[in-house]
Amino acid sequence: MSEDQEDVKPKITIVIDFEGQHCTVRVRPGATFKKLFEVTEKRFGKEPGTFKFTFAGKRLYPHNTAAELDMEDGDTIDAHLEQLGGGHPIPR
Amino acid sequence: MDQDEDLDTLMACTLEEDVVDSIAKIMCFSSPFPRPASSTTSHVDSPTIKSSIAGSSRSSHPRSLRETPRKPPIAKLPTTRVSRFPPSNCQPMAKPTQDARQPSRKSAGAIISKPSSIRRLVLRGFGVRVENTKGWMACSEKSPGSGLGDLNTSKVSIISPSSPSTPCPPTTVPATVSQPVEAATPLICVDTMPPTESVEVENVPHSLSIRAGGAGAVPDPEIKFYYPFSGIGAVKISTREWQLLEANRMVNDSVIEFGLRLWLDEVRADDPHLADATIILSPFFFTQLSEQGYAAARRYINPVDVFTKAFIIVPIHDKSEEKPLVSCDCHVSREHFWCAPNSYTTLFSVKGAQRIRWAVPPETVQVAQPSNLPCVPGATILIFDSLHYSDAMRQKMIDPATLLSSFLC
Repeated sequence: MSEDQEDVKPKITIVIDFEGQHCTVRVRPGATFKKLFEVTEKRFGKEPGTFKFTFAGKRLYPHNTAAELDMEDGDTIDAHLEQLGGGHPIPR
Repeated sequence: MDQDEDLDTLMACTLEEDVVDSIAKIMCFSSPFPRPASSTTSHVDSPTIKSSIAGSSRSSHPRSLRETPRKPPIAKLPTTRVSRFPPSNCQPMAKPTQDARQPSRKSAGAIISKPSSIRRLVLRGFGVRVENTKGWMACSEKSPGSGLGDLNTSKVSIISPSSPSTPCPPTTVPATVSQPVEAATPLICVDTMPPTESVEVENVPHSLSIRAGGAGAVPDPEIKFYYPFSGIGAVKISTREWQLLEANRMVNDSVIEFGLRLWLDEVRADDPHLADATIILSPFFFTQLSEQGYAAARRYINPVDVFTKAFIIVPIHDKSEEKPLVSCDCHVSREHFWCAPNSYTTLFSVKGAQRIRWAVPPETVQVAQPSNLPCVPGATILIFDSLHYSDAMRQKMIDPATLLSSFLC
């Protein structure tokens, strides 16, 4: 995608859902999610890198853009805390 | 730790249909949490359900049939069986290769040319081993800044399980840039246990592209690789996940998803049609469904993806016991196909892996768009319940299987 297209495209509204709490952010489709993630983590009072974001079940990373994922206005990104558990003992 | 003793549990699957068998044959899990003794030997043998599943799968919907062609039964795989991995089969795999820096680990060395140089990280639950070698360490030191260049040479090896007749062909790893491959030091090994069976090792050059996971990725020293190696929605394996694969560490959702995807790609190498008919949902899907209900979970699935699949794998990596559940009264017939743990160490547990028939006739399936999607009759939900979430829920008279079927039907 060229930069011209990015500039032309209007911002879209993305809703971020974390355990039922919502946070609305307006982003340009061509912009990476880096800023969006930072804002979200600040908004929910989490350390940077805490959340795992998914959209339609797909994991998002800071270098992704809304355009890559064909996001539309009003789409929802889900934020999750890491699920940690299980494991295995030291092999004997 | 008391829990560690219960980790010495190996679950094996019992399946009668070759397709289902292929899905489950290499899953071998252990319990990180105490389990009732009765569960260790329970195997519900239900010919009625089996035959109805088989029949319904063949009945209609040509698109679904195209996706899940039935292979002729493999002679070595009886149509009904209780397959258990005896400890003798599993022990070699469960023992990491000895490392000079970690003398407590023992050598397995079935597929490794230089066992003493290998630090083996075992993803036991999937029959997948992720191996870290001195060779890798050396590479990593050479290119500390890239974070990805350290994995530019690797091998993927597949070891077929003991029961199938033919060894699995090597996996093909998508590579964006060909790199020279060193002859030694396998890094990622996919095997379907036990390691004493036939071995195939292929040098797979892959750059583990920096751009994996989408365009514009920035090199990050913390990121080891994405899996799959390219495309949106890949699982990021960073230094943290790498460390979690070591002994006595808990694993996270990324490891779970990575392992399942790796395993599915192994299945794909063996049976592409089966892999195409299988979908792995996000580990967050069930959490979202149980906590926030249909509307939130609805975002996690693409009906085009899900309702055309014959097998839906739902990972549940969640042990929270105080969560409100969405109530439902949908009747589900199900049977356990996990049985008989043995006494060796594995990483994951899947006691609650079940297969479920659709409780609702396919005609009644409500799909948002497009409305005429073929729903696979007799589609099977495989719950990958790594933390025995199902047990906690059943004590509250709520069955995750019921919950899922009410959603996915």
